[in-house]
Amino acid sequence: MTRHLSRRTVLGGLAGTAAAGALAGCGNGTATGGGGTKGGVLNVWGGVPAESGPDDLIKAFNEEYPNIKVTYTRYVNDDQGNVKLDTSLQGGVPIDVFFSYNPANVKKRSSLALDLTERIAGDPDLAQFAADADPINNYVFDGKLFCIPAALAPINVYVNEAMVQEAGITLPETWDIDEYVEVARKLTVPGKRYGSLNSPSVARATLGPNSNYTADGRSNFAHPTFAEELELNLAMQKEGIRMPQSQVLAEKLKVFPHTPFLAGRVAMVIQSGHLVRYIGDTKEYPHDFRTICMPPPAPERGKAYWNTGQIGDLMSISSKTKNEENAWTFVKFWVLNAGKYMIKGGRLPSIVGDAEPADMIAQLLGPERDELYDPASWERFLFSDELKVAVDTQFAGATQINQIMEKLTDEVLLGDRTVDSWVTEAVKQADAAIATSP
Amino acid sequence: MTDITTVTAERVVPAVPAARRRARGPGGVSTRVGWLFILPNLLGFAAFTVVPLLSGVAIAFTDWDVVSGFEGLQFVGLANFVELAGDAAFWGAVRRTLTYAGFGVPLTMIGGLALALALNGEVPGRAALRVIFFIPHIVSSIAIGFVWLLLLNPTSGLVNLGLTALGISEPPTWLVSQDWSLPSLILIAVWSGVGFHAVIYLSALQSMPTDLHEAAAIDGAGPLRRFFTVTWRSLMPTTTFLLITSMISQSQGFGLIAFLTQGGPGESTTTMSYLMYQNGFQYYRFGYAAAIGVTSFLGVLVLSVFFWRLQRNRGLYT
Amino acid sequence: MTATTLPEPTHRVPLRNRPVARARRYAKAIVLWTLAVGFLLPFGWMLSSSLKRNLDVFSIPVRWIPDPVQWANYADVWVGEDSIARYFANSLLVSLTGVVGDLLTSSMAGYAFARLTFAGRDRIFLLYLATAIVPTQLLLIPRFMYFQQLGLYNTLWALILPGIFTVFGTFLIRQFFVAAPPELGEAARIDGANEWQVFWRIYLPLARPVLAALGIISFVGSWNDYETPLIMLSDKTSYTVPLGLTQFVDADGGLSAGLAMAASVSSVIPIVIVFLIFQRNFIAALAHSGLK
Repeated sequence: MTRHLSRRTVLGGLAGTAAAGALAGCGNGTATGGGGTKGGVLNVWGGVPAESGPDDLIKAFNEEYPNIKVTYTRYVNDDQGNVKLDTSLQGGVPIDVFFSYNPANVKKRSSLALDLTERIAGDPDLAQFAADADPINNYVFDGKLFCIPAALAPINVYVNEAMVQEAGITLPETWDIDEYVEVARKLTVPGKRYGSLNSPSVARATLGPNSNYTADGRSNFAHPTFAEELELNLAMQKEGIRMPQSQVLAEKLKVFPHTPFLAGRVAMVIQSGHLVRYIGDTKEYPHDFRTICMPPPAPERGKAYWNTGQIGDLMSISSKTKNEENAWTFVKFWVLNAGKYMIKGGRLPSIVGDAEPADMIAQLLGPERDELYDPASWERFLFSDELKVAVDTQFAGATQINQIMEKLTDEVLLGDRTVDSWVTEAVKQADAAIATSP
Repeated sequence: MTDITTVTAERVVPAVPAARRRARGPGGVSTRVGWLFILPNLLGFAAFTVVPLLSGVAIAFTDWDVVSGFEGLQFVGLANFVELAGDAAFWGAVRRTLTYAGFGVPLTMIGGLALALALNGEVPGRAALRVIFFIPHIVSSIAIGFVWLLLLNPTSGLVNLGLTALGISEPPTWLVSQDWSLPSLILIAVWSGVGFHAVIYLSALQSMPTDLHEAAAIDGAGPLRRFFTVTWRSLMPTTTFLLITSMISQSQGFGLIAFLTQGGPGESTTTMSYLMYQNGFQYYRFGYAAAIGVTSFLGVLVLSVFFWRLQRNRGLYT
Repeated sequence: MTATTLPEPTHRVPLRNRPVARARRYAKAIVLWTLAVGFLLPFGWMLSSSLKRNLDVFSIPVRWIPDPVQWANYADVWVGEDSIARYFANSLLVSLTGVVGDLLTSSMAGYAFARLTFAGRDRIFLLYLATAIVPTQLLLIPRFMYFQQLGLYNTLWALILPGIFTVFGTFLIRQFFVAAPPELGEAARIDGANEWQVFWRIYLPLARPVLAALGIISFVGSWNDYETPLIMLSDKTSYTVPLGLTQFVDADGGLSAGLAMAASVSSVIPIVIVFLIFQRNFIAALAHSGLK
């Protein structure tokens, strides 16, 4: 149920590819793909902009397989974009490989995707993604696999170093929520900036995988950690150390909070890795501070907790593809080589392949990393043994439940609903969603 | 009269043998011709409206996610409707749709009528005014949505900056407030539509026979009384027409909601059309979504019949 | 005819020039023009924002004149793969074809329902009426499935076809023709004109105003449609304007406000120009369309 990027994984990845590389030397079917290298066109749909990695990866793929042509279509990973992908898949637009960015979507699309269980089981390079792997590193639906995760996307805290130094704070290597709040408090300048854009997770960080469900498959929102998390959120907002939710909504900062962070209006942001894309874009977002990476604060000091990120870049092969072998070749190549090409867009690979950790940091943070970041803090975080990302196995009514949670939380933070009411409503609506889910 | 007829006939067609002239009357040539005339429209209508409508209604009795093709189609009888009846989200959506239409449509029409009455007299630059008020109607609703998103921004939008300048210290947060999001949408809809209504009303006013007005004035009716007995009554057909077009453009309200608020914050802008979209395209519960659509259709039907009966005997010439 | 006239009032100021009336007129003009300026404000802001950099659009304090002036926004919107010109072309194609088709089929059907008698006429019209108020959303998924089967998914036909065969158009035209004098047709028939000629040469020209009105309403409706293209189109190259406008997000999906405004202005100006050119015709059409 856990997934972490550790030196062990690095070595494991290295070993895997090295062994496979040896096989390739024998001239029989390469390690990086299935048998088919006959020509054809592959249509790939993904949410990452082409220039943030996919173009490079596809170029490398073409060097290895010159007679498979790949067209990459980018869809924006928001509501509208996902509807576009779904209607296109359903409508018969030729799509061979597509990416999903959360498991609920994979489940939705499962009848449009090929069952990859057999292929994965039969491939030693991909053993970690098998349905019965331990720790589990893929999403399993009724014992079947419809995707392979190509990326690991943990959540971390981005901290403005200049502000920290100005306030005379020394950041510990790890921290808990109380300490986080204290730092946010110290970094808040009323009228000018908020200490934090958002608040840390309590529920999922404590509960880990399937945090939304009880052991018998009903909704879990009566668990005290959910209420605790909301109270924390409200308290921080009330004290003025966290940006009010109305502003977050108005500026649509839930997924793209880079603007206020880079403009100096908030000191800290809890987000996933893709923010580095903006931090590195000094042309559009010039700024003069370094960014420190801190782990998300622990709900309870000393106790192990979960990182609320997820395994992502879920690659599926369309069930309507006419190019199954080539598609599989491509998918496998991508998964094994993402470590080299996708990092610059802020996406860590799920298989490190033969990339060196130092190289990965260099790629992730870019050539100006010493001016823009505190690279040591990044290395510490990403390769920490404590980093555990939860992988869910239950998905009943998942899309609906996510929506319900989001709406109710917005209502609480906007002051229109009490925390107790959140709990009762969440349980009621989520249970209904679970009951009526297909 | 004979001259006119001859002239017309000569312009249209040369003389025709008597035999043809006899084959007229119900069931004869007329019937065939009638059908030929309506055939193009009828065929297209059947193909692109009636058949999908029947299918849509049929889907409401199933549990289907479209994605799994026709094999995934499962008949569930009235289960969707039963669920609807007990679904708080549905009734909330009904309430919100009624609010949205119940305020939006009358406001637009009354605003349009007021504008038309104002423009009916002598006003400098009347033609220009007409154009100015009409333009929002023809501009893409997405473009309108974009600019209002900026204008209604709680901290940097013109509206709130103006309100704070006027002394209101904590202006509403509009599109991100649960209380103000629906009113914001109504505001935008009224702004877009009032010009269209004004133009229609204006043309109706300008072609209204003045003798009725004069007769009423001579009878001693004051301006207000005159308005209600003469003007309002003669505008009845126009009003009905505008009501119908308003109902049709209700579905375009969906575009604004999907773009600006995605049904939120919370559920405050989830109208029935958005709820349909959500259940269909986000949760993949197309059977349920179709049930919402069918219920919505029945509701509008009932309302329409009600209004039709209401105005049937209140027009000017009845 | 003897008419009783009142004695001419002499030396009296005409009613409309009395001070009270004049003041009221001025007040009315001021109110109307203030309102008009208010109406134009959003467009002014649109223009102003279109020339700002993305991060300046939301900045406080508010500036009407952008600094720096970002002309590049317009270049980005018009040039290149995602050029708005293509979306315009698509929208024009869909809306014009739809309108022409709609006018044709609706005028024929509306005329038939009003002026011809044939078996089943009233029952079919009732059917039309009943379906007029169906929410188009209910039809969306079935249409999606059928177009997919027919291979029309992701083509502009999926947008054009439903627009050609409308109930609204038929209804409108029928209402108009119901009030048309039957004598014209009778006279022509007596002289041997066939039904098509009666329709085409006599009644249809009468309907010019209502056709123009229908054309405008139909065009605007088609031009503004967001939901249908959202579902029916997959290829960006086929997008119509409303859908195309939502494409102006930056490379990562965040709202690119400056670009979006430039795109919006670009979509508004042509429409406004066309409208200004034809506005007298538009308004005249609506005025005489018999919608009263």
